[in-house]
Amino acid sequence: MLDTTRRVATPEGIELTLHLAGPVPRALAWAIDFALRLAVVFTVMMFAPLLGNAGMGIVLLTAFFVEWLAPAWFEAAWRGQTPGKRALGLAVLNDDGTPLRWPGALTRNLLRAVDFLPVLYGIGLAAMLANRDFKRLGDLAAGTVVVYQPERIAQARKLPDAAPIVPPVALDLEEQRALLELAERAGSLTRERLEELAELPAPLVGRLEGGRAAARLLGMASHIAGRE
Amino acid sequence: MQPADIAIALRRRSPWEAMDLGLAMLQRWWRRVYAPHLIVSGAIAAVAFALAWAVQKPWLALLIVWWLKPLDDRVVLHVLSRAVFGELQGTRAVLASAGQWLRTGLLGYLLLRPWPDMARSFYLPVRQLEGQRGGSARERRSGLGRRVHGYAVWLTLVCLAFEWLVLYLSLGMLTELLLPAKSSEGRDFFEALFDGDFWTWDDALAYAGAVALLEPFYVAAGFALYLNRRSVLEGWDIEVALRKIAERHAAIAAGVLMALLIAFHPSSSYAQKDPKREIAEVLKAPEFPHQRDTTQWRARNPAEPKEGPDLSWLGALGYALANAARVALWVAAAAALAYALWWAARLLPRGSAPPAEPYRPPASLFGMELAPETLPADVAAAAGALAAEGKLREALGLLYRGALSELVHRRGVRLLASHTEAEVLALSPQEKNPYMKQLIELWRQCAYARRDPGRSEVERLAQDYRGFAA
Repeated sequence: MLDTTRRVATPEGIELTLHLAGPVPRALAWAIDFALRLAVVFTVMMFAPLLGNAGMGIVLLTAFFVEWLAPAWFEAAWRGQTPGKRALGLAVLNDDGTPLRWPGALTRNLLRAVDFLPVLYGIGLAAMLANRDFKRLGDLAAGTVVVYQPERIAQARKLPDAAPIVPPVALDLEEQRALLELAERAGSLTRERLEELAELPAPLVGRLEGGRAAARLLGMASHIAGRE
Repeated sequence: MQPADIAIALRRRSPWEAMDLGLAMLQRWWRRVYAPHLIVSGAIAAVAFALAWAVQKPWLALLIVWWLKPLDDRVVLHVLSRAVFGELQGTRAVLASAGQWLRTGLLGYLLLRPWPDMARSFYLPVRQLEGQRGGSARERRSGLGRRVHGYAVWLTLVCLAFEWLVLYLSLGMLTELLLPAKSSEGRDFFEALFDGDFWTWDDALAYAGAVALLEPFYVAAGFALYLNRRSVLEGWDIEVALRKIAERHAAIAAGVLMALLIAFHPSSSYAQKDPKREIAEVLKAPEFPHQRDTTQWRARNPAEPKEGPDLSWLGALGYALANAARVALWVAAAAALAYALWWAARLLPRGSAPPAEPYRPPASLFGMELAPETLPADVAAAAGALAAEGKLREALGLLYRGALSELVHRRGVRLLASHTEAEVLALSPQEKNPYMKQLIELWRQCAYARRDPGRSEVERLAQDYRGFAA
């Protein structure tokens, strides 16, 4: 099955799923960061003349730090996020899912110089399009991936009110999840589609049809969600 | 088209993740997509460049390539939409089915091309795959785009930026770098803009290259966004999961029935089952993942145990040799350690510095003999006599020599040949200091400033010398 995830097994034998982020959100995050960097440099530039000849030097120093070190600092100290990545719900992690530290953050940010070539990240974009984990060269060198933050993926869970019904057969985890998913999204499906779907699992609903089948499944979802 | 046949993992995705799925789709089927896409876009580019060459306007080629992008999009979508449901078409089949993807409102769309469609790739499947047109298509678009339209617009804008800012400029820069003759023309950006030959053939070529590279991604991302939206709206993932429930529990029910049958007819059972296959089936379960292929060298003819003479003494000998070797090794290690220590000790600096050389009074200071035997017995009297004769310089020199000799040989002041007058003054003992000060001051003026000392001063110094030397 085709998907944009990367599975990582921890030493404890737990499998984590990382949701990889591709070029479009990453480009937008970069654009936000770039605008912020420009804003900082321009602000310093406005006040630089007050300092006379030292002003120019301070502007250049600021530009250097803001361009090369600030993103690395953000990523190392702020759970792998720069302000732009935070806005888009992205974060940088190591390949094995562990948090990013200074060496990785510095490597991937200094190598932006290579990704930037020949103009505005031409090589970086090409690498991202060709790499299965959407990595640019800096990511390849540092062994990092850019992922969606898990809390952004999980949305608020809201179940419709229904009297709980005990399922007639034992359901495994996947199946319980499917029923919960159906209940959560019952509001966004059309009524016809909901009823059509509800008639599918015959072992659960027997020969009930339409609205009664749907009501029965929603009741089972309530039971699974722990309502008594 | 059944959700159960789909080749992508169905789950709830954010719109951004859906676009990334488009890229994953493109990566999986890139040969299938790019082959027909490059043929079609190559043909478009060829036509565009031929027309533009005829009128010698490079910008015309660029415009035509841009204008005919929707035609190209349809090829990409045709391939991807079938690949997703498991139907992988070869290039020839795609081109042969041109009738399908050309008759999708293309002409009307191309006429309206100057009005930019900000979510082109997202809405393309509505027309091409669902075949909706007119009012129903509009309704469908607004329904589909209710929460996703903004994301589709962002996709278009970002791809526009990729196309123009990244790829077009990158490819243009590559031609600059690879064709040095061109950069030597020194075509200034603004100059060219105002001369009206802003778009050159290189630019048109770079743009065509950028489109060829990026357009499949744009279409794939839009298509994935569309698929995700439909999957959310219609619960495709739920459908697949519910179907699985039905299948599994139906199978279980059948199994229970079978078990009952077996229980009633025990004779009809196990003979038909192949235990090896059963075991293989069981081992396929995820609980048994520990399979590993290992490669080893084995003797081709395993040696048979041979009868032979008793060789146990060989073992004893080996044991003894091994012990001897162990002792020898320990000795060698100790020797090496000792040698290393001795070597290190030789390199380390000695604990005590070499004894200082004994002080030897210099034979002369400032070019003047100091040995007491070179001086007259009574320096003060000799100096007074010289002064009386009018040889003031000689008198002063004699006094100075006498004073220095006095300090070095009798007072034990350790003057060196390298000392200056001021250092001599500083080193001289406290009670001799005032006299030395006067003497040195006068001597300096005499020796360095060529100022002759006054007779009275020299005589006074000569008289005071007795007190100094006492």
